[in-house]
Amino acid sequence: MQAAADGVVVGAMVGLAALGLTLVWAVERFPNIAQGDTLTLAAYLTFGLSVGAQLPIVPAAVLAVGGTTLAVQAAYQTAFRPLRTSPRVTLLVASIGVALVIRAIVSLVWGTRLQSYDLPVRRAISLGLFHVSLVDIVILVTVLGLVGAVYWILYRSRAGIEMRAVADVPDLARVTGIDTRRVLRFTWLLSGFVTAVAGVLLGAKIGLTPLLGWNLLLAAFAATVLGSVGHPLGAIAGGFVLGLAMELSTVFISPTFKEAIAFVILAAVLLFRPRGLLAGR
Amino acid sequence: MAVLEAHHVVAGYGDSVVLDGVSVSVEETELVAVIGPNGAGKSTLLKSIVGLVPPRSGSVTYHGTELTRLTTERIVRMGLSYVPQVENVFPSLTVRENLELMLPAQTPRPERQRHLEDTLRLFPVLTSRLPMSASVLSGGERQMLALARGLMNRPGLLLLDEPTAAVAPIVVDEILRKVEEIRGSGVPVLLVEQNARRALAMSDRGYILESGRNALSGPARELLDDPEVGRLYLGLRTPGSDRAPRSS
Amino acid sequence: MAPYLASLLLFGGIYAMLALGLNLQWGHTGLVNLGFVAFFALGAYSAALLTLNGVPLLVAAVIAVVIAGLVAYPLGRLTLRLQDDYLAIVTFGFAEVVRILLLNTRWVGGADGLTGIPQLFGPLAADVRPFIQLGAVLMVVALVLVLARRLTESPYGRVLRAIRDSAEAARSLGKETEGYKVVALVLGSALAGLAGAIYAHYIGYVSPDQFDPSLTFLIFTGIVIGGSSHWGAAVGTLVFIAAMEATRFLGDVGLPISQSDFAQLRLLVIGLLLIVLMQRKREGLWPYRHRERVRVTRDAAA
Repeated sequence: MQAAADGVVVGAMVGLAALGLTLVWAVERFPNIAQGDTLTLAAYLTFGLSVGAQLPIVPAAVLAVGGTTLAVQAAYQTAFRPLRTSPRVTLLVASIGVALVIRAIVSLVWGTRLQSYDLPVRRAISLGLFHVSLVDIVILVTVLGLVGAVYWILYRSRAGIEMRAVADVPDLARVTGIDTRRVLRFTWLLSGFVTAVAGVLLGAKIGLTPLLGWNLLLAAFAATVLGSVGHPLGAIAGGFVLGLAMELSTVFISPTFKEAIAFVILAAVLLFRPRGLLAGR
Repeated sequence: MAVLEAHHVVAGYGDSVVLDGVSVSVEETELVAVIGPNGAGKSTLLKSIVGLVPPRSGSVTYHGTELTRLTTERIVRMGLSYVPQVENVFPSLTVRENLELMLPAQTPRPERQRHLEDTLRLFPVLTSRLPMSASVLSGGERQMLALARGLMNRPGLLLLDEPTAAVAPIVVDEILRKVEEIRGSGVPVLLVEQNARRALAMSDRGYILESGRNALSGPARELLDDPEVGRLYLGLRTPGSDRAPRSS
Repeated sequence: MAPYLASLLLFGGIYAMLALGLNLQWGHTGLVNLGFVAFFALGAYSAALLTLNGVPLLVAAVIAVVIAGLVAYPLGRLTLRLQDDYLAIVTFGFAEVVRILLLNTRWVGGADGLTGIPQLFGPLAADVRPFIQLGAVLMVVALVLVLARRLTESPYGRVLRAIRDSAEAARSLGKETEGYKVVALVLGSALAGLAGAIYAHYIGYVSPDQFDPSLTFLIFTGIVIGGSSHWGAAVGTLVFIAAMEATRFLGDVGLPISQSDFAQLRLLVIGLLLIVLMQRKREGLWPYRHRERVRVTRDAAA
């Protein structure tokens, strides 16, 4: 039971990471390898601002989210935008470069040993069969709120509809008079923001190492593909499936094979349902 | 002044030249057909007018304004509507979203509604489809949506790339009738068609392209009656080479 | 001094083989194999396990090559009928799984790995052995180079580059492109297996930390610098790895930077290079030239 509860919380974070991934993947058409290290960056910025600069945790987290979103935008402008007419696979390779640069900077600034935020003592709340901490509740509420917001943006706002149009048929978007440049900027902004929030939460739940996000990347990929690339709700649902499967595997199989479970799910989806569960077409 | 004037346009992909100095013009209220064998550059002509394939030389003016240096987004917002031959609707968007995207973001709601109603009057089949995803439309309905999208922003010129190419034969008549209706409403149309005889029959003037150059042009009636044209372009369809747009 | 040089050259030969394998995948076909190091590891471990159990080295090496290639096959079949991106994420996941399995499986030694692996030409006297080993490895490298050259000069190689360069050409080949890509993936991975088998029997032990994922990125960067010609890829990788290794000695000359910081700085350099190279010099210093084309341009110049 406890494993299931943990699975839901981990799943929420995997889902959020997948949400950030799926937005860029749908519009830019490549899986951003730097996604994992962006999570790491957000967590370490929070750590640096709260433990290093002695800010209270909430403003530190807010600043870290802002900083990470800007960093992602900067990465887009310098590393990805110049490749807009190149084959998509070069963007994929460039994103490996971005991932390594972020990881190296994080390691150089904050070192490689395990760290954690200085959170107030956590009191676990018992709910009968399992208990949850305040952090868990914050994570779930934030994730659900954020998914709702992203869903609203994509399906109700003009900016979101333009994003979906560019993801759908890029050339037609141009002759529709949509400013593709602005749409791309907005996509990276939204993805960066969502990823940053996921990273801050991940740091609170798991603790910090320079490989924090990298280790979650495989699960995020699997969740994205499972939920169909471009589907925000699919990414979150995929995240929950992955989180539950991975946490339950620690009970029934062995904690060491968590990532192997993610790989098996990814392979199974590609084998049987390569467009994911939600793909209607 | 002509609505559209393309003069000696040269354009292509990579190393290959597809348009080698093509000139066409469209006057107010005219329906002008561009015909010719496959690979003659008909589609590329429309693409270079809207800047998707930027012309390397030559000039394209719209009501006297030079277009060749402008981005596609700007050209479209000036009032040229371009309906591509394939991929001309967004399948994962609803029909309503497909239509409303054609209007600039800042269009006030009442005006947006008016544009929508006007468009639906010409395409009543779409009314009941508004909330549906465009991916569930039939081939004919999809083509209607593509035309409707082209008219949504009340364009000053409509560029149509083979609107009958991808639909079932029974729908062809219906679509061509719509094109005539559109012209009847006062919107000038530049129509690229592989169905040469039909296209000339409904047009005011026609251009025949061959290997990226103007071969013949004139009033549509004269072209239709010209025995030479009949033999070369309207009779048995020339087994023209299906030139891939991007040769390696 | 001479044995030390021989050992440097021998490592160079192993890296060159890895470079040629990855170059077949990325340089010639445009495939992104993020788990390349896993095939290297598979080759090393399977050959080591076999010889530790008495199988002759030559047989063990052949089996290791076959295993590395065979494992790549289902990964290719699974992903290459889809968009290219999926190969990248699946190989990435595959490498993670291999790493975890090696770390946690008792009979392959877990974190300690395997030791006491028989040396190449073990019976020979220690003073001549390094040179014989080097000679043998260089011969294998030469053979691989010749075979790679023949492969990429064949009509098959031409098709691979067409697939890489033009979506149009790829589409006109239709479903066949998948088969071509799978073969490139399998051959490249098999080559990594061969490099692994030689590596294991040269240094005599294998452990999971020798097969760090960053090795994949190191070689990747090397071949992107070098370009897709076989020599370019090999030389680019060797020079780049040598340069990266040389930074290890910078600490000795009194720079106040710790070894682990150097490791991070190397990572930073690799990352920046990948970003810059994708934008400015994607074809590398020595891009592959088909022989015929060279002849044609010479004629034209004459």
